[in-house]
Amino acid sequence: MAVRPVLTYPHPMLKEKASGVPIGPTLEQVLLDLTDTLRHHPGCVGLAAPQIGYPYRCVVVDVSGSPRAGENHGFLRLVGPRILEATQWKWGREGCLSFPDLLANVKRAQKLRIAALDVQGQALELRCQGYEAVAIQHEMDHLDGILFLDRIRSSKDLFERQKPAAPTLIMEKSKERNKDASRP
Amino acid sequence: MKKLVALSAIGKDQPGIVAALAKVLFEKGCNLEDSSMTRLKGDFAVLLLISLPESLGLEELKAALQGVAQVKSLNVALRPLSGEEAAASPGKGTLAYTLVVYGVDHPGIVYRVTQAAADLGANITDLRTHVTMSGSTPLYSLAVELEMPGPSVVESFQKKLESLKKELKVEATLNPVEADEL
Repeated sequence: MAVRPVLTYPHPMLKEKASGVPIGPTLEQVLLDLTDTLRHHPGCVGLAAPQIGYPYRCVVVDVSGSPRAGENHGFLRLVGPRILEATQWKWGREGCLSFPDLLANVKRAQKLRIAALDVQGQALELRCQGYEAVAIQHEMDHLDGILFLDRIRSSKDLFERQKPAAPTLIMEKSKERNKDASRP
Repeated sequence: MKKLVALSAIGKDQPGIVAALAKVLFEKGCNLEDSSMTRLKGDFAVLLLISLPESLGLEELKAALQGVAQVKSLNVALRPLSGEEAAASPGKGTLAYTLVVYGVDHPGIVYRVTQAAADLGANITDLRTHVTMSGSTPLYSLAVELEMPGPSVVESFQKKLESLKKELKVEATLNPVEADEL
């Protein structure tokens, strides 16, 4: 069991671009720690390695326990994930363990085709949708030092969290902004 | 031409402020043209743009609002708009941008950022700030809507923001306001 502390802004690692990690014991350890840390936070649906202090391009995502999950792949460990296709952009409300008190409306693709490697270095290609697609994009942003506040597009899209519960990623349908856009 | 009046009211937050103000305005035949209301800590602030019926004078409206102001302990102020102001279309021909700035809380963030915008003739139309905790660190976040006179101002402001980011040790992102086209 290796639950690591989740870094909060302004920790400098959160704004840095993560680097590749070779397949092997280091990667296995990072993924194990990501998994343990994710499980340690109730409601947490995704974590990126830089959030727990590893500057590597890997994330874990599991939206299966969320009532908003919809169709999903369960527990995902993604190494070097890349987006191949992103469509159906919508606004949704997100939170982040690295900003425990803030929420923001962010525009994300609802359908995603991604490529990644698994822990053994095998190539994966996945089609994801809905909440899972949103969670993957949020976590992948962390690998490029992009935080959800960097994606706000209106002064009315930033909110203080009212409840103490702090899942890594929350998506609430925003009646005002939840419009299917014709372009990303 | 519409008789427009800007109304501001602020007081200790409590249930019924909006309803009490809206009741008076309804009974006097006023329309709410535009509004912004929010709670700031324990206070509730109301900004309204209302149109008055021809028959209603400003003094009569003031008198009608006095009761609500007393009951709800509100500081109410009214400002009639001139005909020219009422007919104006502010922001026409400008470029709409959103600026988000965040960093460890310290004095001067709002001042330096908004002064940089003002120096370039960029007009702020909405501004919201939040002080929250990020672990044990107080985090200041600022989200601003701006009207930019033209692309050269956007470029100059972007350059200024790059230097402010380093100086103030904050993150700053300037983006055009996105309008979904359906």
